[in-house]
Amino acid sequence: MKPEPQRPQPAFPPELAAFLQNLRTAAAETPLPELPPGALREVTAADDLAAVFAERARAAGCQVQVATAADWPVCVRALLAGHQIESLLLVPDDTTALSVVAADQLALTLAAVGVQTTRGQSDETLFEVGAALTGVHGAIAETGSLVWNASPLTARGATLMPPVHIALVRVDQLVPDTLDFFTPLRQGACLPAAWHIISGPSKTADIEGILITGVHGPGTLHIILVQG
Amino acid sequence: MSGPASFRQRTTTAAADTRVIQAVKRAAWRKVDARAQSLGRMRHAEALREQAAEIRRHTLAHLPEYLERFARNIAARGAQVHFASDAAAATRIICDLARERGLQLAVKGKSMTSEEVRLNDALEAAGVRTVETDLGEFIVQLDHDRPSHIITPIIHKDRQQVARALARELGCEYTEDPAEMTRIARRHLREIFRRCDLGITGVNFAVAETGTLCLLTNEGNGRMTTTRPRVHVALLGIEKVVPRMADLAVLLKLIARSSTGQPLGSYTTFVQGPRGPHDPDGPEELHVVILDNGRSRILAGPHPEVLACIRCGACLNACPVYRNIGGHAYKSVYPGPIGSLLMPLLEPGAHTELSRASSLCGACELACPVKIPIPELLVRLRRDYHARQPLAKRLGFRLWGLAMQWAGLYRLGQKLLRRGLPHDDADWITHGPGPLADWTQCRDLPRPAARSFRQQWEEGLRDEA
Repeated sequence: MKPEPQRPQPAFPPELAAFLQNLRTAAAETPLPELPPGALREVTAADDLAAVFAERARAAGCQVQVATAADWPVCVRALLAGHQIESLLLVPDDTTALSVVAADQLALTLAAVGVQTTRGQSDETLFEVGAALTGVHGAIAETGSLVWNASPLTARGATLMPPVHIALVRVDQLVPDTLDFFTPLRQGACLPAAWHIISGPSKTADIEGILITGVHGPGTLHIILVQG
Repeated sequence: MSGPASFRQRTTTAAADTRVIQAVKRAAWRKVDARAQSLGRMRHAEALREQAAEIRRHTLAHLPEYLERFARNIAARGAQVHFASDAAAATRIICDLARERGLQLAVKGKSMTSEEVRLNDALEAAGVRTVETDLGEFIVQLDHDRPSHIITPIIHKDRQQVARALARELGCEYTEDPAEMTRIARRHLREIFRRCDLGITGVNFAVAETGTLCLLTNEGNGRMTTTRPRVHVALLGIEKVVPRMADLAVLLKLIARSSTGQPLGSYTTFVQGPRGPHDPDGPEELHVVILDNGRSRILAGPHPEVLACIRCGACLNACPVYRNIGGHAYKSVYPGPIGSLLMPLLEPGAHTELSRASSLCGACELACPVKIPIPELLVRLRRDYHARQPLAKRLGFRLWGLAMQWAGLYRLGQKLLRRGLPHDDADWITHGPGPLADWTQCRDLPRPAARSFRQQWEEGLRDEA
């Protein structure tokens, strides 16, 4: 990733500085708990992470299947056929399971079966495309969650706006517990301007508590867990 | 008492609306069960609650430093930080931002803080069309209603009411199918998201060490609102800060489980700057409006613990009073047990009667992921309420207090009350005089016995036993 140009440093608002100066707290002193609170993990490295992840992701409403590095494209083709999807957004990023080379190869095979693929993440594409295929930047077994970082290669909306999202997750990307994911993110960690933890499809239970998927984001989230 | 109708009148009316109360009870019990099952499956639920409570207490004890660290860190990432001392300042800052940039169509993620400052009214008055994008809040807005639960805004509506609002306001075909209604809302809001230029969200947590905003939604309204518009404004209450990402993880493990029973909501969104120069999407400007609006007074006052709240809504679902009167009877932005604490503290002199909206059963404290001692705090607030009561009532309670301390006085009181109070044939006092009328209005009082238990005990009950 290219280093971003230095932004002009906005001044610290004087009203906030004055407020902070006068801010008094009457809350009783309590020491900050030790870091990391490892004893509070729900899932540890000793667990079968792939199995836990698959179970929790399904509980969150995802469709999960397991594939090898060689045969995941077959799974993708079957999913697209199953949803009768004719246009697919490919979002390759070499730090994920969907490398540029893999995306190129997949585009050729899909063209042969009449599925159009696109790489551009313009507004038009994001609003119109039938599905998106992406890798992920991390995954958490405890909650069956995916991590999605915004970057020049990966739009915030790529995993949000298409009605179907297919995500490739490498088994070696799994961390056991939410605590394992967050604890290393200390001061100075290189964090993107926006990132997301995705746990299942977009859903609501606002009307009489009835679960409906696909409110603003994808109504269907397929996860292909890639082994080896 | 505030408003034209007293709290007692409002609760009587609300409790009699069986259609609403049925809907509220069904939804609340479902969430109580979901929470219990979800936490019940955890290995360390109680240890996590203790840790979460310590994190929140520590943060409040050091709020000035953590808030400053957060503000400096997110400003260093290119966000513009503003400070609003009250609701008027917050709405002015946001309306000015819109006016200076010529922004005309605002989309909102679900935010109770924006409800607190009445942001929608201010934006509409400034000529900015403002559209709620959380499905529940969208329906509330279409129906010119108010949310009645901090997590489930339309907990008081059934599907027919939602269907009527959609058909009337959007001109679509009438349907009572929740899936179809959701699709109608999605299509409508997609067009809004295509054209919007201002996005407004609240903030669930702000991490001091990294300068990160954290936002939780299930529908994706938080993601759309922080992705599509040119300008994103986040409204942040000063108490929402946490020290480190690891602390956030502890709170994230509890908040959705307490709220809906999910390990995590569908989307946990993290924002710490505007889009980079090569990013394909995202707002060009990020503004963080840090809101006080009475919180600093609470922090320095006798009940700072209230600010530990992370707004999961578990205490509302657990509360027998909330379940039997619904959220609107509270006539406050934040209803339920936490609202009964927060509102009188946020707006001194108002909402004092809410401290009585509790049976002090303690279910709220047991449900609270950060262990706020809600019943104890409500009792403390009742002192403020009591101080505003009529003299006769205050004197009555003073006498009661004295009688409880002096046995002789208690016995004398018993005799006087037995003689002096009007009662029916079955020895019930149904219409007490003076300040007692307030009590006997909703429950009968037994007439003091001719011989008290103590007397009976001394005169022979003891031998029988």
